[in-house]
Amino acid sequence: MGSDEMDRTASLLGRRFVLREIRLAPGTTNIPAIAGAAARPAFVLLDLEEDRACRIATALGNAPHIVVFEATVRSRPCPAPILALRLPGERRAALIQSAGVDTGSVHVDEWHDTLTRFGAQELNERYLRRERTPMTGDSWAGWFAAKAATETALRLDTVSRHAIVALDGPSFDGHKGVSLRFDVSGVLVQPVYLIEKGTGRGKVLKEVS
Amino acid sequence: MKSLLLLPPLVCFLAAAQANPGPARRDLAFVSNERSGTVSVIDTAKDEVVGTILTGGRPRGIQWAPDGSRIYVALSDAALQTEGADEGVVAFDVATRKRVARYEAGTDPEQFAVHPNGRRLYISNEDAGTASVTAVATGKVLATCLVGIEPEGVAISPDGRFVYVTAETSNTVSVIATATNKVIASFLVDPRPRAAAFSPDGRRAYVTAEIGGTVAVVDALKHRVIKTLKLPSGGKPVGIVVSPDGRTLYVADGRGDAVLVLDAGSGQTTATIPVGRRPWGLALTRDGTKLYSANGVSNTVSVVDTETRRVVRSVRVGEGPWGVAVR
Repeated sequence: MGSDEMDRTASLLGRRFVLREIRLAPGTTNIPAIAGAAARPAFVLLDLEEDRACRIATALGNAPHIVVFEATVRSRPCPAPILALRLPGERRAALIQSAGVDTGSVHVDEWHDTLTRFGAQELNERYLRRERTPMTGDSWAGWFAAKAATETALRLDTVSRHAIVALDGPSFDGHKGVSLRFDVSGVLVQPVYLIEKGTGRGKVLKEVS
Repeated sequence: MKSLLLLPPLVCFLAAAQANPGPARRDLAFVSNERSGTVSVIDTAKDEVVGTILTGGRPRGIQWAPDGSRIYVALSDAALQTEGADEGVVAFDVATRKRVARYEAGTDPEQFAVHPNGRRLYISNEDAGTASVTAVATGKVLATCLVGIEPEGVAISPDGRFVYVTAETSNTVSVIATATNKVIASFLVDPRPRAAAFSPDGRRAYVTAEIGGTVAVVDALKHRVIKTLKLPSGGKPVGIVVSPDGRTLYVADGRGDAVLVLDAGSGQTTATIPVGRRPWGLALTRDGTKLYSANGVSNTVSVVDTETRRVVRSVRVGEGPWGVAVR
């Protein structure tokens, strides 16, 4: 949904981007092929586990007009220009710890389909209507990746990681009620949600950040 | 892997228009109460509630007909995002307070503008990502314009030539030329644009960006942002109105429980007026001496003396006051 919405935004403004989303089967390691495929597109979104994301991002280097988003948990530094949309594992653990709840009964996620405030209801409904499945933390990250990349390109005429992370770089609206930015290490600073595990998709206990 | 489609050109689909309703001018403020499904009527001479109209559903956007005969209210189903039979823009006769018309407006209609000639409504359709142009006389949709993602605020220039439609997700403003009912331009503003307002001479427009914490100053003839005003730290602007002389902007800082006063020339914030909780819609009396803010959480309307910049009265209305229209 994110790529379509952002293509529509670009079209309204008289621009056209090609956004490629690369999803590889587990174990695929043909990095040169991926790098070749990414030689021309404006954006490359990676949704991979940490090691491969880092290796691919390293192979892609700092090619102009390429930005790499990681939608998975980053637990150790990657020298490549990765932007992380999901919290590092240790940060999640710390948030659960500080909430003073039974650590086995809750988890932290970047989104939940029962959120309603700050335009979340509208986003959830739009996603459900279109994709016929509730928006999860993963799907929110994918939607936000496309949004952040497109907005950066439209505002700054570049999609370099440096531009996005720069202190005077853009802020983003992720339908969380606050302005979102990436910190200097490339991790998105954002409110997340403490979710009680249970039947179905669980229940949001509270927002934490 | 996906290569994306280029959207169709920025064209709306046309038909015709006509007719004008009758006269009547009163000094009244109409306040939409989204949680109680009512509209409160305030006599602006006494600043007292003198009546309540039951609308049902979830009333939000509210506008006067230019001749003062009708009040229009955007009504959505009380259950969020659920299409209901009563959804649309409904018209009430000001004299009788009776409902006299209903206009189609897609799912969950929120904001709209009335053309100065009274003949057309411009309505943002949030889910469809469109704005529709509707004939008041016939109720017929004359044109449907493709605008940004999640359209919200709608404002029309004083001369009726341009309609600005903000879009919350794409952070865009689309410009509809009313002569052709086509989108003739779109431009970016800061994150989560909410409301737009034109200066009385029509040369400037102002667009609030809630998450950006800014107000964009727009050249309303060239449709370009010429300056972005950063509000005091933490400001989350939503509703906005411009004084009749064009010199002052009043901005509802929803989460700051205040109305910010900005000098339109310098862009400086010159005052912060504490009002009720969560102000959203704002309206000025025609002479600009009083400002009304609909305070969504405290269920009040604050009446501000614009000279002293102080709240002179707090009027209890229905639950969840959202919009206010004065004339």
